[in-house]
Amino acid sequence: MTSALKYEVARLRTLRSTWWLLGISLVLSAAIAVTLAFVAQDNDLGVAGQVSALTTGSGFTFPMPAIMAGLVGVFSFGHEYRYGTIRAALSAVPSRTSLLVAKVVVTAAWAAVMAALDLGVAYLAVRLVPDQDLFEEGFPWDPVGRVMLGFVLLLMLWSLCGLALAGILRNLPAAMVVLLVFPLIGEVILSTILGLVSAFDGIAWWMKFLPFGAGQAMIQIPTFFGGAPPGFYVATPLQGGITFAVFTAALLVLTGVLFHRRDA
Amino acid sequence: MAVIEARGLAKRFGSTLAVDDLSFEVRPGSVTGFLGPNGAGKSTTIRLMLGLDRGQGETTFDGRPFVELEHPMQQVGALLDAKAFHPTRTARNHLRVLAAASKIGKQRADEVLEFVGLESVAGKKPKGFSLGMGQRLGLAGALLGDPHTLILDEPANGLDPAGIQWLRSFLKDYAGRGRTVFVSSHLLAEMALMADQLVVIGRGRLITSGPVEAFVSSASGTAVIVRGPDLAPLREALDRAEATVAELPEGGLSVAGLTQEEVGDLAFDRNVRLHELLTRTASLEEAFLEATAGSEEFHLDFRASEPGLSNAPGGPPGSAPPPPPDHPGTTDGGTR
Repeated sequence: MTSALKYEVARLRTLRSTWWLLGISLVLSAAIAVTLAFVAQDNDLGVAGQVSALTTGSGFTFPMPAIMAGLVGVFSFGHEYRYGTIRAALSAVPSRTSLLVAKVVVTAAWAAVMAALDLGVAYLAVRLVPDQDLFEEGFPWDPVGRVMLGFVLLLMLWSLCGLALAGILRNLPAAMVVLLVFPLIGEVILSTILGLVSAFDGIAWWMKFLPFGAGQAMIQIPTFFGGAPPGFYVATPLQGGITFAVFTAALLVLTGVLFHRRDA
Repeated sequence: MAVIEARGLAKRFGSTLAVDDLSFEVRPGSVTGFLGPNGAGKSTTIRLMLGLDRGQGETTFDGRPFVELEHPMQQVGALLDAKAFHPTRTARNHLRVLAAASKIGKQRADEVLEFVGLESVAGKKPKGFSLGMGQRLGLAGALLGDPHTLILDEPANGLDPAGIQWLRSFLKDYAGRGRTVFVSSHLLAEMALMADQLVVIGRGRLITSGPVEAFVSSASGTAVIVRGPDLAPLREALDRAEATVAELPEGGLSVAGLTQEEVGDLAFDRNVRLHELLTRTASLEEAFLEATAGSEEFHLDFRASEPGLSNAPGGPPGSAPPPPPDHPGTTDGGTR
């Protein structure tokens, strides 16, 4: 297991994409934090402003660092299959279980580090803006602390979804497309249609359990938009977190089964 | 020093049986060539041996399957694909990633890169590497753990003549130190110079295994050539000895089934004067083509695609192509 972990850490560390994805994530975090800090000079944004500044605008938009974390996960398996290095990897670490577990552990840990750095950079960026009063009153656990924790968990789960999709599809572009299109377009279109058409009322309630949307509930602040519009249902942070975690776990189990059955 | 034992290897792709109950043994101290026509199942067999492909059978290295070896790269080095590396990870880092998993020091990456002649591009991204450079990087990976066993799939592909010569002498030297070398190749002339033992397969089945000399001498092209002014008494004696005798168009006899010494003794006993007595040994290529006849997965049929051509180049339809001019059948023991 140690060998597999060392392999995976070295693999991740020696890829340029690891660093430019982290760089993009940090730049986005800093940019959004600074922007909100300037807005807060003349407006009272309250805790919603705090949350959004710290978590890359997650109060009003989709947190882009989650995509970066997802791509780190996709590359974990996707590069191995795209460039044929999976066989070299299994020549060095023949235990497929060890290699898969190492990929899961290292990818999730890296996503957590990305999230922590994003939070830290965002905090520092706001602090550097003169006359900002966004953070003057401290951070209440609910919702700011809870959302910060949710942000870390969200990035970890996104990274593992990316890893699992690449392991299942064994095709890097296809995994990237599924990872981006399904949550950002597919789920949105589905829940919008079902939310707007009253005939689907019974089904619409279940749409809050669409996995990626549910995961986003971990970083949602219900008061920011004054709650969900009529016909739309939003999971609680706990419901959403559990839903997304179960979905991710199911994908990982499928990845593990296929990884053991298939030729390398 | 590891003995490789493959037992009952089998692999099916859909309805195609790629490897069919294949068993063989590879012993240390010699280079063992792994030969077979295109699509015979050589690469699949190697992947099965390393547990990379799912199939039947078992391969052990000194009694242990590959997946049970601790730090396998320190025991078995494998080269499977010439270009299996991330294009933007430097050659040095590619090896360091593998080294990290195998309890091998970082400096070993530079040592093996220097050994395979890639020290000048150690810090370069391999996306621009030629096939030959890719092979060298793959070989460096196989050598990373200084293993007692090397398994190489077509390592000479893409190498220039100097590289091939280097590879040949390296592998012979490696095996000469009591290590195990198992190498597949379709370059028969190269294999003839490199290998001491052979495992020959066709359509996934074992055709033969054993020393190269035995394989070559078993081919029908191997015969004793006899010339003299009057061979009639000898011909009679050869027939009585149940040898297979053919008259050569240019004069003389071709004798199969008896050794050069036995033919010479018969001639002496019959008081037959000889002008020439030699053993014509078939080339490895001739022996290979004879052994694998009918087991090719893919056939060349020039007539099918070129209606204007009546014959395949180099001979009548169905005949084996002639050996390349620089690798004719060899002769030995001549008494010219």
